[in-house]
Amino acid sequence: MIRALYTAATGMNAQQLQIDVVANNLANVNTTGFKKSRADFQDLLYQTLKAPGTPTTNNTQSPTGIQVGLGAKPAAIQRIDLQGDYNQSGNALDLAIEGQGYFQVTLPDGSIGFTRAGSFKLDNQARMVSSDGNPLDPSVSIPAGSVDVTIGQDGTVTALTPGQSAPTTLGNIQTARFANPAGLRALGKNLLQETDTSGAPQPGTPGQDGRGTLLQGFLENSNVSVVEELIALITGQRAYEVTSKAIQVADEMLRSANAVVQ
Amino acid sequence: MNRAIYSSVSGGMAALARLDAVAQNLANVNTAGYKGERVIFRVRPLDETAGGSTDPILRQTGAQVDEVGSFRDFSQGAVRASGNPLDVAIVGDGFFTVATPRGERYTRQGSFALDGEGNLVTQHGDRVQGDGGDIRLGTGKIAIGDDGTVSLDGNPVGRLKVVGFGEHPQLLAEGNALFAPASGATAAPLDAGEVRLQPESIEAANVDAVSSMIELVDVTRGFETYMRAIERLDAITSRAINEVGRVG
Repeated sequence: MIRALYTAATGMNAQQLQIDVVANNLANVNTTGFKKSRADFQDLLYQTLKAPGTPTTNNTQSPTGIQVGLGAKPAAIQRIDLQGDYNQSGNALDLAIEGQGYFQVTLPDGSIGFTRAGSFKLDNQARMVSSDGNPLDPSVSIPAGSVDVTIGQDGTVTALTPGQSAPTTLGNIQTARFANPAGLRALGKNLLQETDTSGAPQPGTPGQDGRGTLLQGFLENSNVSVVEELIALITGQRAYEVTSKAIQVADEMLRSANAVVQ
Repeated sequence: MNRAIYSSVSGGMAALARLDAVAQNLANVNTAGYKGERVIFRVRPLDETAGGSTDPILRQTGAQVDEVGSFRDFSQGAVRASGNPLDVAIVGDGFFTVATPRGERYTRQGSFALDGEGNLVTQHGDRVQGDGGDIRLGTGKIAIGDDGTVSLDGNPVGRLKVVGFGEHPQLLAEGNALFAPASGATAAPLDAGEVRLQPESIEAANVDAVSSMIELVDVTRGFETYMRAIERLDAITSRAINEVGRVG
């Protein structure tokens, strides 16, 4: 059969993945702390029909050889860790990270998950928890009846607790940074997990060693730019279409070859 | 048999080879740093097809087309901003150097990433080479300057090793956006003044969808013509056998 049929099919598969990634980005355009992804492609292996330097006569050589490419493949889906916009919410337990770093929350299985979504709430034990109920690590509790909860740039949580006239320090929120944040595995629910490629988490005080500072009363929007995604959608769609034409052509050529023998 | 049939077949095979190249180019229309593939043909010298015959008529007929080579169009692809600090595009000549288990390889795909140890790597995981070997970055704000200097929090860590292969690079495509030097090709490191990089940008494939579509039309119709020619030539042979030679 015609090689081009399969070559073009790999291209269509690649473009389909591009559309999948764009669709996920667009679906999460309003997800707090979401980081967009990008599909990167590479060419597949080549079939060398004639190596360069093959003698063509006794004293001449083929200068280029013949190499036939066999298509494209997805190389990576890379998360782009650019800062998202800030959205003022006015809620005392909403936090945005200005710069690098992730909040650490304890997952139900005891492991640590990492997130940029800083919309914290209180649970029935007065602990600060994520929207899914996962408590911060290290844990911070705000006793019932506390007023004027203040979270500093460095993560220090203070509040006026009942019966006190001066603010009490209730705990410190830590953030973690990674050698390669793009290597973190996405778990869904705004959570990321450490992997070999991300490197080990480096937890510490926000604002120190390159960790971003915290901003109380704000949330970080997703970093998805709708215009950019729509352009990626159009280019993906058109590339899919144009590659499908190569399949049509291969099909038509097979048809005319078949017509030779009646 | 009719020699013209073989000429038509060779034309059809050439159209198939062109289709393979166009399909490859179109499949990679969204592959960053991809360089388009072209096929070269020649008319096979008549004495090769005529089997060294001295018959003047035989020597004038039966020309065939022959695929002699494929080459890569290393022209510049469009550079578009991506906003990602690990993306860098080469404007003009040059290739990034990558260490692979098979030796040094070269690429135009400047959409890099980091591995778990903080090394600058390609999307395939091969380490990108600087003037002093691997480029090791830690945690911090990464920037790549337009001369290839990679810096972490404003401190230079290394300079991307960008090499040139002259005006007509003799390179073999290996897949994974990598090129290997063909025998005899040598990589000449480019100095800071000779390299122009566009930070936070990606070089798109240099495949032109419009001319590829035109080539597709040309290939289809050309192939159809060859097939029709074969059909006709076969009909002529058939008549010669069945009508001219009819007995009784």
